[in-house]
Amino acid sequence: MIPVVDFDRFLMAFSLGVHIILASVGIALPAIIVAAEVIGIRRKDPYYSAMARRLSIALVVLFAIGTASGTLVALELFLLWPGFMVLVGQVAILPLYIEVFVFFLEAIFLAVYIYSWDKFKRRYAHAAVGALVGVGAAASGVLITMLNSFMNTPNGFNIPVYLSTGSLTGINPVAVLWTPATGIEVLHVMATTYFAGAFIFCAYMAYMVLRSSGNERTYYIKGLKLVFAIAVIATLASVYTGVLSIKTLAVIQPEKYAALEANLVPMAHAPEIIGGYLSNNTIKGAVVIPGLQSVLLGSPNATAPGLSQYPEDTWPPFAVHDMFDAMVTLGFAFAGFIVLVMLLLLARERPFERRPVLWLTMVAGVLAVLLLELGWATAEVARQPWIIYNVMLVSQAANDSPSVIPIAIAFIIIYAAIIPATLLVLKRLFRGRPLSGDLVKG
Amino acid sequence: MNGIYTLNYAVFAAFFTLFTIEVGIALAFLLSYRNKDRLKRYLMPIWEITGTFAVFYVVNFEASFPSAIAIVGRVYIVPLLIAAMFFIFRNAFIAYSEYIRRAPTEKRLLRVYSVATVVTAFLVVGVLGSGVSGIGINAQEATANIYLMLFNPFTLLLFTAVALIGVFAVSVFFGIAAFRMLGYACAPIAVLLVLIALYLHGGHALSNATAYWPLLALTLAFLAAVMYLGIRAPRASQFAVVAWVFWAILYFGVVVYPYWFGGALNSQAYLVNAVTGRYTVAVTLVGGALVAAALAYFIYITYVKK
Repeated sequence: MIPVVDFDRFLMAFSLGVHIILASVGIALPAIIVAAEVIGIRRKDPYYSAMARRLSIALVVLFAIGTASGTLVALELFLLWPGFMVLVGQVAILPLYIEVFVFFLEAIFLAVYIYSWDKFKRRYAHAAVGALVGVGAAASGVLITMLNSFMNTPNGFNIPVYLSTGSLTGINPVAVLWTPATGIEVLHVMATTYFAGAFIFCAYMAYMVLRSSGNERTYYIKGLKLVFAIAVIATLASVYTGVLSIKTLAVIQPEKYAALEANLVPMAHAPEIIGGYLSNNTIKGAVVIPGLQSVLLGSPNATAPGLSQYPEDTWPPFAVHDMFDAMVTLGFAFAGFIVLVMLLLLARERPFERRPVLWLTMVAGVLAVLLLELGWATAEVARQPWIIYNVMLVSQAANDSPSVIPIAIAFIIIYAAIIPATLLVLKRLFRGRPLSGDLVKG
Repeated sequence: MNGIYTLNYAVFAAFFTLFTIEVGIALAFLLSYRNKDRLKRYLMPIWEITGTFAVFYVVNFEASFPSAIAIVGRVYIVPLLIAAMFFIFRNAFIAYSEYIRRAPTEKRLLRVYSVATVVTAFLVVGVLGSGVSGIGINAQEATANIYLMLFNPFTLLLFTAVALIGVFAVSVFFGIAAFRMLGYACAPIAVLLVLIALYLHGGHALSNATAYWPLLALTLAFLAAVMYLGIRAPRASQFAVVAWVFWAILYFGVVVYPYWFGGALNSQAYLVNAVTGRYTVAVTLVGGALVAAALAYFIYITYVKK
């Protein structure tokens, strides 16, 4: 019999797994729309203006599904993890609470942006409202990540007293807004969110370039150029913050770091271990690059933390190491793809009109989603068995009511129906709304 | 009343005012589809804001009564997750219907939206009703009988009252002629049903209702004024009816204060600690002012500016 806590885990993971895709689209899309609208106004280019109008329809539909899925996650937090939320409510509620107001402002400005498009005489003012939607969406992402940072490096209350007596003392709810993990985690999460969201739209635009001709093709090529530019900036930011993030992890969450790097014991001149599996407490089948890990930590003599410094029952599963390696490998693949496109651009080879590049862009869109999920899963699984690192175990936080099981199954079925239905509706929407009409309006 | 409790209940009242009107619209879509265009003109820009109020209430509850989360999580896990499912349908189908203009398809989509909204309302009222009455709930063991929780006279009377108030609000707000007589009959019946529910429930809610009889008199006088305005000054009555629904929900909150589950729990024992409470109130005031300003801008741009 599977323990109820594993169903809780599964339902939460499934809901969040879906939600982060919707959230990354919901955060990246306003930036794309506003960029298109501003370019359209500045250059008097009807293609970009039409792009802003058409993509804003997708934003409304995706916002509807995203809001519902966000509400579900907010509910699940206290229905599935009451123990966790009792502590969060007393100590760490501010990020979540401020986020609600930010979300509110985002919803209000979105309604103004969409439903009052033609009431703005100054078009830059309309674009500014769109920018507020984008700021609201990004701020929501930042605030939710702050709560996750608290889970990784808790502060804002007297932890030793809590662990020994269960009493909450020395509460400072503001301290929760800036934990040791917050800065780098926020930067990395936001960069990767824009990265995934932008690449999803790159894939869509590339697909449409392949399928269209004439005016429509020009429209999608322009769209691809715009979205690809955002994707490049986000990729560079993701790589940079990713490197900083892993170095910070070695200091603030050494156990998690050791699990990701598969360091069984602490050591100086640590090698980089790529791949492999654990057998009888030794790693087999891995590629080992001597000394590289210490170099990446800042010095060839740097000592990398090891799992043996911690009780074995708090080690994360070994699989996180392979997940981490897969994530880094995919990151390198993206960097290579971007370099290739840049070289083609420099050589004036019109990469966005070449079939192989368009196909690769479509693959990149799928891989970007995979990378987003992999990054999130790695970060979360590597914190196991803790829900709040070194403070509360997942099992202590969980709702052990068995009634969650049928509901978990029902939710999976609903999501499995709603997401394709939404994509189908979007497809019908754009098919029933000829580009020429929006080009005239633009 | 405790400040944090009052704030939390005010957030609920704001959410439930908008949602009650939406229930009325959903019923109107089902009963009188020919007024669709007029109803949609109001609904389209505001449905997402109503949804956001729902999230606001959930998080505000987590911030106000963190110690109650353990029991609420266990007792309400089934109805609230099912409500969330229907909430997903509500969002999805209203968004789909917004852009699919082919008449038969739009009608079908709006019907699904309407049913999803009404079922969500039923579940939310079921949770609210059992939270007040304690019917179907064993607060000591944190267990619940879902069937009893949802299908008991107290909850059914409350839900019927909410549906009737929704119809009343829609008939006044939109001035729908076909709905006027029906709508005007609905409101007094709804108030009567709530009073019967409180009488059946007995306990502290009934004694509060008796003790605060001037508030009930005020609620009824306000209702009469709204009805009068509905006939004499329809435009002013649009705002008045929203204010009355909000007031009526606040009145209910005063009556049921401060106990949960039929008096088994005292909400005051579950309040957030003073330090965090101060910060959440400060955030509510600042954030609330910003949201109010943004809402005023939204109303001006959407409904006033030509």
